[in-house]
Amino acid sequence: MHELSVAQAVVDEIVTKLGSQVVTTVRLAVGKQSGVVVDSVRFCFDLVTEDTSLAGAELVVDEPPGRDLRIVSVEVIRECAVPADAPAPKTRA
Amino acid sequence: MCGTCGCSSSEDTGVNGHEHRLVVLEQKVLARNDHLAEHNRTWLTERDIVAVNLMSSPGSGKTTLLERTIRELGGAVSVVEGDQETEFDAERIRATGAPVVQVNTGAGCHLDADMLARALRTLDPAPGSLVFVENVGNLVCPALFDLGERCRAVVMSVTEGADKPLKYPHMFRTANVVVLNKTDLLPYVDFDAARFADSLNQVNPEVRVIEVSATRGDGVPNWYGWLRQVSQERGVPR
Repeated sequence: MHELSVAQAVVDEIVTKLGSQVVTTVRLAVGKQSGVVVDSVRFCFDLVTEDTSLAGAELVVDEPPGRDLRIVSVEVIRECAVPADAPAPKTRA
Repeated sequence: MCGTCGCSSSEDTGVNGHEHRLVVLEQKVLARNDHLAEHNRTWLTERDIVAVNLMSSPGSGKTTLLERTIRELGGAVSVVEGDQETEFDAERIRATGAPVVQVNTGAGCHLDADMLARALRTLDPAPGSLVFVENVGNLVCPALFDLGERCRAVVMSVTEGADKPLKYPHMFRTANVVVLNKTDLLPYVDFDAARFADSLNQVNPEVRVIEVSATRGDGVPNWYGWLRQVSQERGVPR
């Protein structure tokens, strides 16, 4: 079950790069000949992201031909500075 | 959907003060392992130590092959043993007189570069020596993890069936040599040698096959010859 190691490596790489920034989406490229089973990665991803800045993040997986195994991009929340009881922000024009 | 603010858009909406930002990483998932593996490779090369990553399914005869190799090859040989549990294999290697470190991976199905780095610090192999890394018995996961080894030897036994290279292409594709073990059992098992050659040819046409019987000693001089070539040429012979 090397997908557990793969999922853990995804979390480790992202946390190393982005620190505690809250991650909402992770996009991976898992090549069809990479030797990695996407469903297993999905299963493990939910386990290893618990209690991390990636908790609850959506996992998007592209499956190109070849042996690629890559973190393509992530989406993070840039600002979380507004307190919950603050008035609703104005809609931008 | 955003797990924190609950908004459905991934664009910069400014809703509730949250803004989503796309960060392009384009980074190999196993970058950290590959980095540590390069450290191992440098560490080994600086000491002129040759590390051979020995991989196979469980029960193919890796440890038996190592026991005979240590007794007959000569020169300084040490071993890193990888298994999920127990010290059984390390005890067998220790009985030959070779230094050995056992790594128990627990739930893990393979050795990684960090495990080997720690094992090498404990093993402290002599400069110019040969280190065998007996990976966890598994034809799937170990193929994915570079350890920093000089070369990869995949052991397969004739009892496993001729189609294994096609069933486990990742493993056989990364092999620098395939050791076909238990040839003494050929009269008793239905092993299709032509089909095996064809299967292997489809995934790794260049790879050398060395037929041995680790229990009886048939063919092992060819294995020793290959190991000496690896040690002397600082490259990977075919």
